Amino acid sequence: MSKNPPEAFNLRMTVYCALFTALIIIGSYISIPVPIGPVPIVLADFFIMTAGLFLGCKYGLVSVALYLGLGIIGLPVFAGGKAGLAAFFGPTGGFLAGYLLLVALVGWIAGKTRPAVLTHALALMAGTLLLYAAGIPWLKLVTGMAWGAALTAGLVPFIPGTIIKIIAVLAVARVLLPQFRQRSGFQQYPRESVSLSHRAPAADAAPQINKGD
Amino acid sequence: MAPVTFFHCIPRDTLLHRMDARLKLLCLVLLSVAVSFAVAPAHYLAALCAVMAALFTAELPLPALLKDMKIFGVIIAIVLVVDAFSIPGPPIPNFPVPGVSLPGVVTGLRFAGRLTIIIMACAVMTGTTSLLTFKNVVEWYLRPVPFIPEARVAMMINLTFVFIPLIFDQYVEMMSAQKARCADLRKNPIRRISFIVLPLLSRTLRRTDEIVYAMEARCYSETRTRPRFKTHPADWLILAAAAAALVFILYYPCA
Repeated sequence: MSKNPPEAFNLRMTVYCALFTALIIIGSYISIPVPIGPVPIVLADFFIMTAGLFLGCKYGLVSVALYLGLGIIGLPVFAGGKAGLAAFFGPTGGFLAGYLLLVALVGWIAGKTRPAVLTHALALMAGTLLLYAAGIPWLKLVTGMAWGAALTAGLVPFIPGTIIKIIAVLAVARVLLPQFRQRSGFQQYPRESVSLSHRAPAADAAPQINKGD
Repeated sequence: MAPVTFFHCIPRDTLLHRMDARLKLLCLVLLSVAVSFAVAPAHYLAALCAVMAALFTAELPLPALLKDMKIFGVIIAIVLVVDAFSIPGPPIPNFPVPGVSLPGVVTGLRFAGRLTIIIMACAVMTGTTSLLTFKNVVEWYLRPVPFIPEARVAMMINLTFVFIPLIFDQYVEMMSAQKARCADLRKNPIRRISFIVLPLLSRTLRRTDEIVYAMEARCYSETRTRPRFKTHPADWLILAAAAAALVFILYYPCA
């Protein structure tokens, strides 16, 4: 991103934004049961964290804003098929607004620092804290719960899932991020036409990372 | 390949296919607002009638649509069960399963009805409107909004709708391939997420690159001739029907 002037229209990144919006939407429909807790993992915020790392602050924000916008005009894209402005003013509205903060902070930290597992982990943890810092007070405000009850409903069941998700995002970023950066963003055009070759990306990206770290 | 008819345009020559897409989108928004306010069974019945009428007018293949709704059926079932057990309240008298609360079941059923109706309405919308028309309509609506590059946003929304079935297809394909290799027997959730997300992301990123190259090769630009829309009297009647459904749901007493 640093080599492109910010005002230039970047078709590639715009299309990637749309891709991540679609992934976030799909992610709210894919759920994986967690053996240690009652709440299943929904992959929406997983893809939002990934969007922050992959797209950076600006394009990540665009992607999440598009997701929220589609929800506002009434498409059932929020977790569990909710939609409309009602979802924003409902108990989970704070988390929806928190998604914007999450992607912005993750993208900002990841854009400022050298790509490394440690800084990515810090960025993701800081972003997640911000997400819950936005979500839980709103939950308390709307439902009128006490702080303890709000924490039990909005934080405790999600802790195992969130930790698993952060680890998984880190694993995914380790494998795919160098390749993604090489293809887009830092360079206008890829050195080789990676996209049209049919090599397994995970296999050829792995050795590079081992050297880098 | 997973054959998905959902969210794909099916060209026909019906009233809804010929309808002005601007009003069609407005109808969809009205209906989804209406459904989000629905409480009583009569409300749901009214909305369901409206959507079913639209489905039959549009002559969409109903069996194929219902088959594709299976994935949403799974979500609805999960939410129903979770709501029934987690929301506190008096139990249903003479119900064989203990722990099921009446408010929980009611909340779950409301959710199920809402989601079904919205999804069917979306299916009618996407089934009767080509993606290009849809993009033009979104652009038309965004034009008066300041600070938003309407052509770019419309293109992104359009691409999102292109990507969703594409990713779904790939997800279904990948899951079948993994099931054939017993990957779903793994219990470690980190491994399971990685096994789902890594191939999904790397495949879709590759597809995205192909789309970018295709757009660049065709000289994609945001300055294009503005499309023309034509409104027929029948379109206003359909809009009036959708508005009537909204008014009915807002003002009919909640039983």
